[in-house]
Amino acid sequence: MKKYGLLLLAILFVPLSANAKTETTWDFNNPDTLSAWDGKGISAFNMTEDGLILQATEQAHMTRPISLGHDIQEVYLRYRSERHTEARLLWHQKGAAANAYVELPFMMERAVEPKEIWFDVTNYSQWDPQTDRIGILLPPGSKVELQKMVFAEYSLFDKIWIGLKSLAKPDAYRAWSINFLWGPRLGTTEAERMNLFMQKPPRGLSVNVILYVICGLLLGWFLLKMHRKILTRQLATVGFLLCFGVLWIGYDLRMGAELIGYAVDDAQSYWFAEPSERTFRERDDFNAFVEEIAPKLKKHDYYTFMTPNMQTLSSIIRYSTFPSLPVSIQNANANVTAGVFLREPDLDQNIAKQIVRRGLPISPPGEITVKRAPHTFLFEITR
Amino acid sequence: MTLLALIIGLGFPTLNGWLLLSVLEGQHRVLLPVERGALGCVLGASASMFLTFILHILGIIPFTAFGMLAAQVLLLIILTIILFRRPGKVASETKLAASGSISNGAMYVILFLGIWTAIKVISMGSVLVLSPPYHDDVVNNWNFRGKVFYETQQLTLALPMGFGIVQDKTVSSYPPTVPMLKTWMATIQGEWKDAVANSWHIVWYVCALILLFYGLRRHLNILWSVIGTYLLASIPLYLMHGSVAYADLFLSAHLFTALSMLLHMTGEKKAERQECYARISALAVGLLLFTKNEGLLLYAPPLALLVTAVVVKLTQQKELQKSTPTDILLWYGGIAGAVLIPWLLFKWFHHLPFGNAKPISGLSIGWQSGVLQSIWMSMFFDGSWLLLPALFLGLLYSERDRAFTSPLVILVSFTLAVIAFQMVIFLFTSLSVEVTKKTGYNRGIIHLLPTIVLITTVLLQNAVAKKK
Repeated sequence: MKKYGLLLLAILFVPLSANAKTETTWDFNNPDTLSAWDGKGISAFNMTEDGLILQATEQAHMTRPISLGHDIQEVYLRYRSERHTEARLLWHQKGAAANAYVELPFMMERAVEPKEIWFDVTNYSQWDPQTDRIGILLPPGSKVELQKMVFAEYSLFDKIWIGLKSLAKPDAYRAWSINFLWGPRLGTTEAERMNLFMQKPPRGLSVNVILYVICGLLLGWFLLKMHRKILTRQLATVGFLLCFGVLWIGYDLRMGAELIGYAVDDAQSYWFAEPSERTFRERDDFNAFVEEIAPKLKKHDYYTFMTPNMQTLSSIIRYSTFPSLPVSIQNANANVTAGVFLREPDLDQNIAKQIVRRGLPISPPGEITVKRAPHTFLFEITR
Repeated sequence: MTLLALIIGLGFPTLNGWLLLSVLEGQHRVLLPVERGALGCVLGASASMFLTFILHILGIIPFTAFGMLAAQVLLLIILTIILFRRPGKVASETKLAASGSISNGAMYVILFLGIWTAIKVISMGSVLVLSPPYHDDVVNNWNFRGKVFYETQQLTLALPMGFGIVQDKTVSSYPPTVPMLKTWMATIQGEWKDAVANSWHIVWYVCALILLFYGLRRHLNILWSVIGTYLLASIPLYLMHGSVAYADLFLSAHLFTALSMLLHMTGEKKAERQECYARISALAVGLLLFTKNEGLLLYAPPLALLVTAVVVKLTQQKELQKSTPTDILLWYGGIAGAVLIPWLLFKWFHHLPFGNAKPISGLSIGWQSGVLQSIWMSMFFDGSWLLLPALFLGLLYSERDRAFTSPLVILVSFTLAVIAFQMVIFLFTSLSVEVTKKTGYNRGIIHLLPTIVLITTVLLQNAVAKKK
């Protein structure tokens, strides 16, 4: 009875321990913290009640010494940005030359409302959890508002708790899902959990490892009971297989939920969405656009197709519009009577109704008959 | 119109499959009606498309609604005539294992898992028919070829890929069964609709589950057969293949039929029933050659060896009557030859390569590093198979007596031989990229999966039933 009491006590303490994450927060709306920063190249800054607005006309960086008394396993940043900004997280490895920083590129998306980034820093071999200097590098033309940075270290119990939460995090439907499914992974930090399936192979430990360990322990336990003649061979086998069955059903529920999630995602973004608002997985609105223009392309034997993402999308548009066939703009001839342009930012239509690219005409005169976005449209040549 | 197209499009080949199986069974029906329906859907699809292929290359029919329907109707008439002209009384002689009892608790679990599985299948079936084509081989091969056949009304080998490129040596070397089925659906629909063209795949998935259930029922009670069917239904990657327009699951159903019917044959004492199972197995082997190139390159040689070995062994044990071995071998050889000879002649005549889209002659030989590790990770640490590989290997070891000394050895030896052969290919040829890039190896496991699950379930039952 005593050992069960202790076990119960331990279980009760798990949630308390789960809150034992050690973290240090820097609020950028606090003038006291500002003095520690060294800035270079920043053309203007302004502190508001939300944070610190920085402007850079040239490449700029701001760094500061850091000494937290705990390791850093995760870095969190909250910000707003006036435009998409390709920034870099900088850190100095202890013992490295004074001005030698390791740079981690990251995208600060255009955001009116505050955005969050969880840097999964332990994913990088060059990360120094006891870095003595940290900072951010901004490219020319940046205008961002930094609101908050948090540096966290997780205890063992935190890691177990996050690992359990990670089990529920599904992967998205990917191009490779027909070949393999990663299955649940165990992250050990919030950042790792958020970024589990963002790389190939994914972060985190495969849940199969844990299941094999559990099965091994169960098998050992039942073998022991059988050896001591507490259980017959048959009862031990049934007992083990029942436990195994429970694990199997749990795994099925997890993977099944992932597959059902694919259907739910497609239903929300495609099946039941308005045609003008349809998006499909990572292809965004490409399929909806093709669906819209395919009937019009039926009367054209050939059309030019231009998009920055040619490799992935050309086979899909060819299949979707067949027997109308795409050709490259370089090989366009008199048989080509239409053009499909997808997210091509350099295109425009001139006064002679030709499509021009950086000022140079690339088509005969015609009409834009379907326009989905400023740089996504169907162009039909008038004869 | 779509519903009508589905009824006619799925119904005709299934009905022809049903009739074809009835003809092969003769007066001694060894299949249950549901089983015959499921198997009719799988084998009827490939058999009727094979006839359509023959009539088309002979210049008799085009790939139009009329032409393709004519092939279906012709097959229907021929099979009906054979069936009705046959003298004698038809007897249902399906031999199943004892039903056994199921406790209330087990019933609740079965009900819960049944509903859960149905939700999964409906969800992924909806993805198949309602979401746009997504995977490369769908838009470059299976559906694209079907669409080209439909638009050109013929078996076009030179595929216009756009951008001035015409492909005539790669995917055109694949058997055209699955693309032709999609063409057939489109001709019935009157236009190309992905939802209609793709509908077969989820139906085949359900058929594979039904076939496994009845395959198990010949050896195990209802509870164990349900457990085995659930095992297959719970494998995530198998359901993925039921919801994507690829041909691997279709092939797996053919392969499973070929092997499981051979296994059932060994459990029979009456010559009529033995031959009946052998004829169905022979049909599956023959049509397997016309589903994917792997059917010929990877599975036909071990199947030929296995069938010969089984027949020799049964003859030695005096389990077969005097004329039965010859009859059985003739059925296998006859059906396989009838499918293979026209298809190989067609390939040879059109200079199509004999590899699987990559010519065999182009492969470089040598030790390929990284393959073993990749296989190890894919099999044991991904979510594709849940814990099946570990369970399968564990049971092969713990129940080795049953696995290697009972008739189950037919399936076990085939499965292990194919896996070993695949590993040799991947370990020593430049096809290793299929493993290291995780694109090809799992497909081979998909082909074997219903067979692996059947073995696993029989061994599981064996483990539980063992008292000492």
